[in-house]
Amino acid sequence: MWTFDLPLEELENYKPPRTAQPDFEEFWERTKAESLAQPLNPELVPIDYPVKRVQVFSATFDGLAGESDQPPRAGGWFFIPEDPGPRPALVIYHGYHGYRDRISTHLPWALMGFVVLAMDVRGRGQAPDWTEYEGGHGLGWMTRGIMNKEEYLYRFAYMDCVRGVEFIAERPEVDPDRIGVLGGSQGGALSLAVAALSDRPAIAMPMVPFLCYYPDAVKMARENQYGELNNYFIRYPEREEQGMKTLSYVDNMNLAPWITCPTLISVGLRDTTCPPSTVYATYNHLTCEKEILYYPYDMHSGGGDAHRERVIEWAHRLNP
Amino acid sequence: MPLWERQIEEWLAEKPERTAAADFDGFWEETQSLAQSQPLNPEVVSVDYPSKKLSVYQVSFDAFDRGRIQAWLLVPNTSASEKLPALIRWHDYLGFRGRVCTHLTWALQGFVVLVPDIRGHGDSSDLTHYSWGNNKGYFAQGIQDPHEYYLRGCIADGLRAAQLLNGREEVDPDRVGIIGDGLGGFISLWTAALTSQINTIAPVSPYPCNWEQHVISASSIAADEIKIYLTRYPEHEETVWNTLNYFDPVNIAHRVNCASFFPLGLQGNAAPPQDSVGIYNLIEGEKKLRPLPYDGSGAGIEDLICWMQERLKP
Repeated sequence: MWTFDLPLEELENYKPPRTAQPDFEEFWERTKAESLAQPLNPELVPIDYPVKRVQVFSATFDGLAGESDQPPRAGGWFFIPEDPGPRPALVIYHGYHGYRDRISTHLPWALMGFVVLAMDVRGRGQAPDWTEYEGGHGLGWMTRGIMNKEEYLYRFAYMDCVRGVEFIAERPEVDPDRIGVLGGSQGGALSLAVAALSDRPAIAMPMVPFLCYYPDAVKMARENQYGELNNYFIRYPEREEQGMKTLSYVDNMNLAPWITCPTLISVGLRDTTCPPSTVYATYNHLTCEKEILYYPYDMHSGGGDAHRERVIEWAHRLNP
Repeated sequence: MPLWERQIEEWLAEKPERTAAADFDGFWEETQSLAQSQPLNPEVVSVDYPSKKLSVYQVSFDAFDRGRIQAWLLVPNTSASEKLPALIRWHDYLGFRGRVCTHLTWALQGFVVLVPDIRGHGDSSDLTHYSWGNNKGYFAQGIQDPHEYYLRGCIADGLRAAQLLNGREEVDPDRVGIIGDGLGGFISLWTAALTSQINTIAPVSPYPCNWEQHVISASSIAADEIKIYLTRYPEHEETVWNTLNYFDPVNIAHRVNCASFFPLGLQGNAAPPQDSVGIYNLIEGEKKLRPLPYDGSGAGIEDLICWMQERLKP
């Protein structure tokens, strides 16, 4: 029988070897230390919102500075529920072409009793990207700094997201032992990366995660997110080797064994944006408590609200 | 002045013509009386849900005439004994009531929320004995006779849903609103016009309105379904328009006397925005139009939250 990707039985055992370079661990240890040494300088601006059961703020804090003297600000919507603290917290990351979205998008989580930070990812929404790249890039964000792992966009984006967790962990309303991370697509990738690069998350709930096992992804994906890489390698075939090497540092399959918190993943078995084999390759490298829910008829919707019910169930492990 | 504002001003100056037949009011009086005198026979089953901030129920009640409507009922858990404001949410054509989490935004604000599946959609049955078969979809079902037409049942079920919610002991009957998308917006207009039990409605891109114009010019599924019927049975043309005129919001909008809020995405295709403005123009009660020039239909959730908070005070 022809299917878009491997049949389920094969996906379940699909575990290609990691593509991590010898200095993979050193690279991230150094990046984490760099971030830890840099203060957050958080700031909250209150937002007048008609629902008075929550306090809503626009929060900002310094993003990872890198070589720059002046780090760009990262941030997002920040919600404090009326329930007495300390509360469990959720950090929510958006999809590739998304943004922090409207306040109402995240309102249910806050009303369920979670402190919430819903971030803009670097270069998206209200989060500027000030990295001084050596050259230009293709459409979008995937090829920004791709020839140099030190300046690659996702090194900074991942750390900004870790800093989002640091920001929330330091809030007096928050119980730092009850922090969860979640998001769909790119937001799923960022949840995985943060769970791998920070000890803080107690639970991770990535949905249809992006940025997983690039060697498959660039060959299979049919939509324009991974496609930005294809277009780049079509233009510059001689850059493929170096580019793929950079991508290996931000490949969630390579980061997967570092995740220690319980992790719930979703996957659409007809997903041409984030193909199932890339998700299973990553999932099968997880060594933490884990569960994957697959949706045979879904493409990138990955179960939609039916899966969101499972996420709500999992999030309640944090006892809001 | 941006171009879209001038466009809306033009639309605001046009009142669509009513197309009601002589016995229009009698037809609806009869339907309403039948809908409200038929027992509901409600059944309420508790559903286990992770968040303890609300209680969730699977509710069913008898549909108008025959069949059974299935719905979610979300009730906020409060320590106070005072009654709560309530909302009915009606989904769009070919949609379904969604999952419980689809409605948490409203329930957790403090509204009791009833979310039925429209008859024939989702888990709600449509057991009408139509005298004809069908071509595609629902809009041509029973179109041979206004008494049999699909939308008669939908509207009557809308009245029954309002009745059920008004009768719930946790609900303050003076603070009941309806939010409906597309066909759901159509049902909310009709409910508000036929009963005085509703405090406010938010028809979001209500559809279909202005039937004949809609079928000729809109690129919607409803228009397609009616056109398929008319190409197969051109001799039924008069019957079709006669039936649809009983189910055209242009003929009932003047009777909506609760406060209405119209979030209006101007980029909507299925429900042409000028149709919504036409209905808006006919409404004589308190009303507010919120144009969203660059959004499609279904936008305006933040404005909707603001409106319902102000009107129903959860």
